[in-house]
Amino acid sequence: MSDVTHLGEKRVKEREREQPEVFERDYTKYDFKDPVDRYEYIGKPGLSREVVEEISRFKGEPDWMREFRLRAYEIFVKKPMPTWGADLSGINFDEIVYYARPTDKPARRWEDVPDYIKRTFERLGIPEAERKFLAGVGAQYDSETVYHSLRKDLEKKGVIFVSMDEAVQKYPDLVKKYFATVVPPEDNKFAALNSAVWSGGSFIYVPKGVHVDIPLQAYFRINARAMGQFERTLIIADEGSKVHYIEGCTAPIYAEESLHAAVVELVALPGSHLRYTTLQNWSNDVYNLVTKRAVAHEGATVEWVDANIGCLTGDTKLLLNSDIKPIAEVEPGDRVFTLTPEFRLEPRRVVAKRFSGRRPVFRVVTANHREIVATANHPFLVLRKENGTNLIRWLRLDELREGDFVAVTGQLPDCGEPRKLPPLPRVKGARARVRVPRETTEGLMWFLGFFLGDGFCERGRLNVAVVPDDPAYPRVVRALRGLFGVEPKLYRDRVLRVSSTALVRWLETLGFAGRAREKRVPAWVYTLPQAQRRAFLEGYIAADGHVRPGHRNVSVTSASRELLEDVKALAISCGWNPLKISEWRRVERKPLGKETKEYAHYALYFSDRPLEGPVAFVRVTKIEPAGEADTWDIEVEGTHNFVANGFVVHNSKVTMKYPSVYMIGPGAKADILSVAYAGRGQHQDTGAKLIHAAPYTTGTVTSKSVSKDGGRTTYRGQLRIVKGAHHAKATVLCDALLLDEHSRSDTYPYVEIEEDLVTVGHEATVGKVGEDQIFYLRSRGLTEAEALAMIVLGFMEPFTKTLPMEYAVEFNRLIQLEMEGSVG
Amino acid sequence: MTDALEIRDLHVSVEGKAIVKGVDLTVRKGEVHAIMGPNGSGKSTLAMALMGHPKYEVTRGEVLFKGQNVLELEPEERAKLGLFLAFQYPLEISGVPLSRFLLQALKARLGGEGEKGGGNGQPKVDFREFRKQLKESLKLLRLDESFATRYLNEGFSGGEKKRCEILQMLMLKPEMAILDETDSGLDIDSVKVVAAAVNRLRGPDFGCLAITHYQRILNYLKPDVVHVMVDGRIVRSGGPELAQELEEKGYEPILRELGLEVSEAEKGVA
Repeated sequence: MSDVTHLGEKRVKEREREQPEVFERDYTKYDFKDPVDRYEYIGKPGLSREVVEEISRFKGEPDWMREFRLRAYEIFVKKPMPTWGADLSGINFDEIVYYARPTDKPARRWEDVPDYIKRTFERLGIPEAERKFLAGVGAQYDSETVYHSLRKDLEKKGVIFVSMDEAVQKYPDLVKKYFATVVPPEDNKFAALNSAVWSGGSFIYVPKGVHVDIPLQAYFRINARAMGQFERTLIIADEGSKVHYIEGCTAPIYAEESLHAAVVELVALPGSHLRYTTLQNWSNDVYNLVTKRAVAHEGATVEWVDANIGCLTGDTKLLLNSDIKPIAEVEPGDRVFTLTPEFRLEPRRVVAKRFSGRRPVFRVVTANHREIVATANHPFLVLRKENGTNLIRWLRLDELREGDFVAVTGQLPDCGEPRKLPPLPRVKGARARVRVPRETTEGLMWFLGFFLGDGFCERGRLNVAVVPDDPAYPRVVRALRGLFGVEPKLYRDRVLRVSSTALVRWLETLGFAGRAREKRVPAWVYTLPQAQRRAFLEGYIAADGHVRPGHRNVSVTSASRELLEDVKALAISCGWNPLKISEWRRVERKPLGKETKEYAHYALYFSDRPLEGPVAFVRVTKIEPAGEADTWDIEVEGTHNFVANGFVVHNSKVTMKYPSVYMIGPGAKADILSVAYAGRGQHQDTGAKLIHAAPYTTGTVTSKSVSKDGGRTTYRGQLRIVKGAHHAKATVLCDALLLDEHSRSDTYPYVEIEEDLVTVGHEATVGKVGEDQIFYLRSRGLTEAEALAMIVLGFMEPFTKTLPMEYAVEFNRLIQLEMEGSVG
Repeated sequence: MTDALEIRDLHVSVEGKAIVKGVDLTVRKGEVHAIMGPNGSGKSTLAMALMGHPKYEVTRGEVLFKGQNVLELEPEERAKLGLFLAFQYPLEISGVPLSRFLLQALKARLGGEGEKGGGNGQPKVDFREFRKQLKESLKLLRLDESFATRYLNEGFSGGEKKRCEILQMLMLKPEMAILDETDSGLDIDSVKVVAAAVNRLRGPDFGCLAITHYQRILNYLKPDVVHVMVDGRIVRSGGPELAQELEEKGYEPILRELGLEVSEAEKGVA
């Protein structure tokens, strides 16, 4: 079998209308920052025992809570990062500020809230909501709850709704009895972290038999830069009581990632009814790692309503060098190549980038000697034969095997442009007749390629080492005459020399005057048209290349491995098929001395068989550890992959936010309703977990997801019925709506049943919005965006129905904004 | 410049196939025209093209309404201009209550030139007036009030869907309504109800182009002009007596006259 399999280019009909580059959502309402210097106390970044103690001391906590925090800290240090699910290695715990508090005391009256915080809340619509509907507002502003109020009649009935901090001080018995009983610090690393540094969050206690008829709510925001949010919410619905709690979230846009590691514990005591609703609108930077769990006792009902409409994830993980630039130099706005679903390579804009820290990495080498260094979780596009069928899919590096075929680029589209060149610098006493071209040409690039190989400058002289019987000699002479109008002199029969300080400086400004071991291909060369890049390589090969006797392939040699890496990347970008870089050393004894010096030389070979088509699958020959390296993430507009070192790689995702309900009493009920929306560049990975741990329990999960513009939603429903939970009944319904053919949706039910006498149902549907539906609504006067929004809102109706009015309005508005972004 | 719907030498293709092959037709406000014709003669294609369905490509000709070049307008702009199409096969929009849909469509219809309607603080629709009219219209169409709370066309019977189209027409008050076989699939009582609703709008500011396969609705609609469309062209126009003639003799004589083949199905018509 040959090492290279070509994938025929799929012809795909052009989309009728170009999607405009539009801002995905109107963030203006949410994207505002308050001056951080208003904070009274900002902790130092990094976490230690001292930081934990400082937080506790600052809060004036009782010893039992301090002890709890310290115990949790020890657990946090020992626990490994979760390895399942999303990639979290981009989180640097030392860069996060664990505690900040904006004002010294929670205000009970709206008038007492500081003006700048009021302004923030006004923009979020909180005061209106408060006036009209609310029983109580708990607003989480970074770490401390600044505003809390509860309707008087509820207070009289014994309902407690305070910040978690206040509860520790005022209701220690209740807190001690239930705190960390549902999510103990031992549960996972993030639960331990939260337990150690938690701050703020809500505490609700509804006494026996009390029905709270209007929703209690809190709004969370992440405000300060690199600020962790570690709120802790505990809700206890005592026997026969009823309560609905709503949590809204929003985060301003930041360049650095924030970590949101909350813990939510719900305790539904026998016969109670507890509903918890989450509405979220996170911006890209937030790692959202919330542990949410409920226990439902005998005959109790827990309803979990969960909406994910922001960019929870869509984060890209890692990569080293891309073809055009090292990733460390890539900036948002740059264009990199990405593989479209139609198997075409297209340049796309980088929308975000971040440093992911120093991490263990692995080297993947292919049969045609392409190499990439990546982290273990990095996904590659792989062709693998399974049960006689060739399947193309994304596999993580650690799932790759030697012998698999991975996607590498073949012929890349030509997106380069000639470069304007600077004028000749003014130099005293320079001869006027030297001139330079105004922009790059193939002739100039050939000369610069040759110069890169065999040229050097010294003391205002430009030298090109070339002997008169070299076939390239006349071309070098012609180039010097034609391009610069100079007449080179032959020096010692082996060097062509031009004396011109101005010309030397000019070459320096272009990045070409380095010494042999420091020579690199200047970055701008990668941006030229393919013909000019090829001319450059041909010039370089004319200088440093040769065909060795007995070899078919051209090779070039250099003392600089880095230079050959550059040349290789450039060759790949031209659709050439460069092979391996090999090393050979020679030892030289210095004259008159006992010292020896070792010189390393490197050779790069080119295959005479170019790769046809945009993508080829090449056999993996080696996967090996490659130490540790600085790693970076980029996020590319519209797709989740990019071309790195000639490989097609995928980004990885970050979300873990699966609410779960443990039904521990007979007849307990759980109802989870989850809606997700994924737009351009987003991957919403959501799910829910139901554990039937008692007989006659009933669980229902309904998931509704909408994807558009290549967005992707994944739903993971976990269902477990333990031994003894007879007559348990579980239903999982997944509905997905795709707004175009580029988007996708997947559902993964995980079912574990240890009991025989149970009923389990799973149903999944995928719907598409048709042209005719859109036309029908447009014929009634709705714009395309309004038509889409109407269809999406209709699809979400079972969810919006459960919301109080003002949330439903806000939700509808967000969907409308999303739809406006999707059509011109 | 006139207020009429003027169709001149209109040619329409669907997926590269020519269906409408040169239609000339002028419907003035205050008039009701009927287009009759055998299956596949291009009647529905004409309707879809007039409303601007992207799949129906106008290859030649022009369409003016109130002096405006309709073909340059997006479907929603045509709606705002006062055109309305009652669909032959209305689409189901799940989760959208009919009343909410009507309100948003009405806001859009009144919402001025190409701007987004339906948002916050958009054109004022008198909510009470809206409710009153909705109630009246439902009654006129012999529909229960709860009908307006059902999701748009979802799970509607064929007859309910057609009446829902007419309900939308009553609420949106277009200036030129195109009815695409609204009568087909309806029992005789429903046909009368639908015709009565159209007649309710009849007046100097309302024109109507009723496409139909059968003559029977014309007994109640009483068109001013009847056209016969065959093979993408209007081959005959006349007064109500033309419909009567078709009722008696079917399309066969006309088709023979034109030297066209007569399908078995057409022989049975009328």
